[in-house]
Amino acid sequence: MKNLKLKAARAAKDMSQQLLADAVGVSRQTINAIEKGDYNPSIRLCIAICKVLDKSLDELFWEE
Amino acid sequence: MNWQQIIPFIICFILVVLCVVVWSKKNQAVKDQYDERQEMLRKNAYKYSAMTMLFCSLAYYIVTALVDKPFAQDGVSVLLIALAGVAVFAIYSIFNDAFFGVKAKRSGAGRPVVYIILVAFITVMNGIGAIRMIRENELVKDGLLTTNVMNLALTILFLLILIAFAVKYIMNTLEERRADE
Repeated sequence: MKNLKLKAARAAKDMSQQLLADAVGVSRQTINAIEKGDYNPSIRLCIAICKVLDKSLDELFWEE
Repeated sequence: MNWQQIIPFIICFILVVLCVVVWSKKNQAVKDQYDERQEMLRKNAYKYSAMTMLFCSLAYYIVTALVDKPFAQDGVSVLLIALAGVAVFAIYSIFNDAFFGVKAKRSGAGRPVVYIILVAFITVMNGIGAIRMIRENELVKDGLLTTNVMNLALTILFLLILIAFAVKYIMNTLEERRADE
């Protein structure tokens, strides 16, 4: 399932996928895979993404 | 018991074990070059590579048993099967963006583009060798593939890898444009 919340949060911060990837220490393709719903990140990676985007885990990764 | 036959086998076994131990320790340091998704995909790549080599070995021995005649000189079939495994690993990793690590160097001789240029150079060199072997009819002797076929096999392997890099580069470029829209 696509993670549109992550994409929206990234866009709100005016960050490209590459920029976000560099900030959390993963490849751009990993961020792309998470946004497309092709990969489920570990909790560690989720927390790292949340810290960079100033969002909580629920706001980015909870499925309604 | 013929020790002259057993001792080389024992020495080879010990060397292989040592290489695996050293490689596994080095691999720990190399591991942090890849992110978690890449690590997972590389494990799959190793698995598929091993399965490919297993099935190729099985197929080769079944076919040669059925026709009661080998296709290649001693060792050549083993090398070709190994190259098949390498090809599967490389192409799977490339298409899943797990070939180059996230910490792949951005400058100097360790950059991915330098690696690709090196692969292209090796392809050309082996290609030249392969063409020469084909012209001189050195690939097959007494109905068996000779070791001279390795030039051709390596050319094909590295060419496939280069094509995989090219296709993946185009796919990534299009993906980046779509993602940032």
